[in-house]
Amino acid sequence: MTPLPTWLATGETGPLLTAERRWRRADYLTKTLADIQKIMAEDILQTGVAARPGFLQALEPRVKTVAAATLLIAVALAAGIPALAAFHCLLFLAALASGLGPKPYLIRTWLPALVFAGFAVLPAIFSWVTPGHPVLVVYDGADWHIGPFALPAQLAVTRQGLTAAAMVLLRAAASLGIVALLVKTTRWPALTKALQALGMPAVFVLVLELAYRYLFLFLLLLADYLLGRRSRLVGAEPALAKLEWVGGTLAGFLRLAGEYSKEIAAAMQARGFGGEARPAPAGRPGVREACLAVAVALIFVSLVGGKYLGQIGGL
Amino acid sequence: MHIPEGYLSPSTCLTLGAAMLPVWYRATAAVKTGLEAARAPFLAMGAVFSFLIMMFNIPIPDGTTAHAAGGVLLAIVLGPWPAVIAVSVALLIQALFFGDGGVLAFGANAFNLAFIMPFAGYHTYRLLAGGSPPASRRRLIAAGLGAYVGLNLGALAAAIEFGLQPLLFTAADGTPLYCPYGLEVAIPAMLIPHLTLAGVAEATVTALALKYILKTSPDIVAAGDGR
Repeated sequence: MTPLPTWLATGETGPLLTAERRWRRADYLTKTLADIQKIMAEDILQTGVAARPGFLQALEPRVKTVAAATLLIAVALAAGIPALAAFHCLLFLAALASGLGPKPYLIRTWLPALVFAGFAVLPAIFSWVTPGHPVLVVYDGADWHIGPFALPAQLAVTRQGLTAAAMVLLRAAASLGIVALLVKTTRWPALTKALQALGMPAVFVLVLELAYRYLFLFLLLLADYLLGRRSRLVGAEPALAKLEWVGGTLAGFLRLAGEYSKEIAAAMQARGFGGEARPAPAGRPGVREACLAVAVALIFVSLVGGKYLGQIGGL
Repeated sequence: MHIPEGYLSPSTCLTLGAAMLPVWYRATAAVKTGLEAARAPFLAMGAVFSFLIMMFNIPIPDGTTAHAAGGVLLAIVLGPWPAVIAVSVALLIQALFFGDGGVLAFGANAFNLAFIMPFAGYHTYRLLAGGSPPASRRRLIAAGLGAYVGLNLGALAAAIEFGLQPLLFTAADGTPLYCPYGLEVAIPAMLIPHLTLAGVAEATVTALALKYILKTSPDIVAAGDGR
C-alpha cells in the first residue's frame, strides 16, 4: 500500500486563521486583503461551530429559520429598552449554550452594531437633531455666527435623543445576534434547503448555493493576486494608476468568472442537471422544536405585547 | 450604503420587500427564458463577481478608501435583469454571513442597490452611449456617468427611506422610533459624500473596468447588451 504523504498523515493541525486587526490607516490593497482574511476567518469559525454539538445546532433548520424571522420582526417592533436588554441576555446565553463563545459572539454582534449603527446615530442624541427634554446642557445662550450661518442658542443631550439612539443600537445588535446565531449554528446546505422549503424560489436558492460554494475560491485567488501586487510595489503609486489597476483586475476576474460558469454548467449537465432545482427534503420537528416555538411566542409577546397592552390600557 | 437593521421600520422593510417581489419574479422569468441549465452557474458567478466588486477598497481623493457597489458595471456587462439577481444574492450573502446590511432591511437594500442602481445606471449608459462603437471613448464616458447616476440615485433612495422614518414613526413624547434623521439631514448626509467622492470613484472604476473588459472579453459585453 502506498504510504500517505507526510502532510496528510500528520494529526496535528495549526491554529485557526484569525482576522488581523490594526487601527492605523492602511492602503487599499492592505485593506482589501484584511477584509478577505476576515471573511475566511469567519467561514472557518462558522464551519467549526455548526459542526459541533450544541443547543441550537440540534434544532431543525426550518423551525430555527422561522423562529429567527419571527424574532427579527419582534425586535423591530419592540419599543422598550428593558425588554430589549433582557432579550440580549437570552441571546448571549443561547450563544454560550451553542458553543459560540462570549468573545466571538460579542465581536460579531456589538462591534458591527457600534460601527455601523452606533456612530451614525450618535448625533441624534443632541437637541439639534432630536428636540426634547434636556438631560445634559452642553451650552446655553450662545450667539455664534459664521457668516450667514448661526448656531442654535442651546445644545443639549435630550432624553428623547438618548432613547432613540439606544433603541436603534439595541435593535441593530439584537438583529445581528439573531442572524449570527442562526447562521453560525446551521450548516450552509441545511440553511439554503430551509429557505427553499419556506418559499424562496428554487432558482434563487440554486444560485445562492453555487455562489457561496465558489465565492471562497475566488476570494483566495483575489487574495493571491492582491498579495502579488503589494509585494511588487515600490514607492508611491499615482491615484489614477491605482484605479487603473482595480479596473484591470475586475476585468480579469470577470473573464475568469465567465470561464468558470461555462465549466460549471458543462459539469452539471454532464451529471444530469436539466435546469431544475430539486425540492428540499423535509425534516421532522420534535419536542425540542415545539419548546422553541413556545419560547419564541413568549419572547414575541414580551417584546411587542407591552406596547399594545399599554395602548389598550390607555383607552 | 447597506442599510443596517434598526434604521427602518418593519412596515418600510415590508413595503420595499413587497416592491421587490415583482422585480425578482420578472428577473427570474427573464433568466428562465435564457439558456436554462447554463444560466444558474452564469448567475452564480455574476453574484460572486458582484461580491468581489463590493470587496474592493477603492482609493478616493481624501486619502482613504470606499467600497465599490458595481451594480451598473454588472448591468452593462450581464444585462439589467441578471444584475438584479446577481446583486441580490451578493447582498443576501453579505447580510446573512457578515452582518453587512440587515436581513429585514434586505428588501430595502435590494431595492436601492439591485434595482434602482443597475436600472438607472444602465439606461443612462444606453442613452448616452447611443450607437457608438464598443471601445469608443463615448461609451466609456457613458458607463462612468451611468455608474455615477446609478450610485447617487441609489443613495438618494436610501436617504429618503431614512428621512421618512421620523415623519412616520415617532412616540407620543416625540422620540423617533427608528432612524432619527429627517429628510433635511438624511439627504445631504447621504448625497454629499456620494456626489463628491464615492460617485466619482465608482464612475472611474466602472469606466476603467469596462475599458479592460471590452479589450479582453468583448464577447461577454455583447452577450449582456440589450438583455
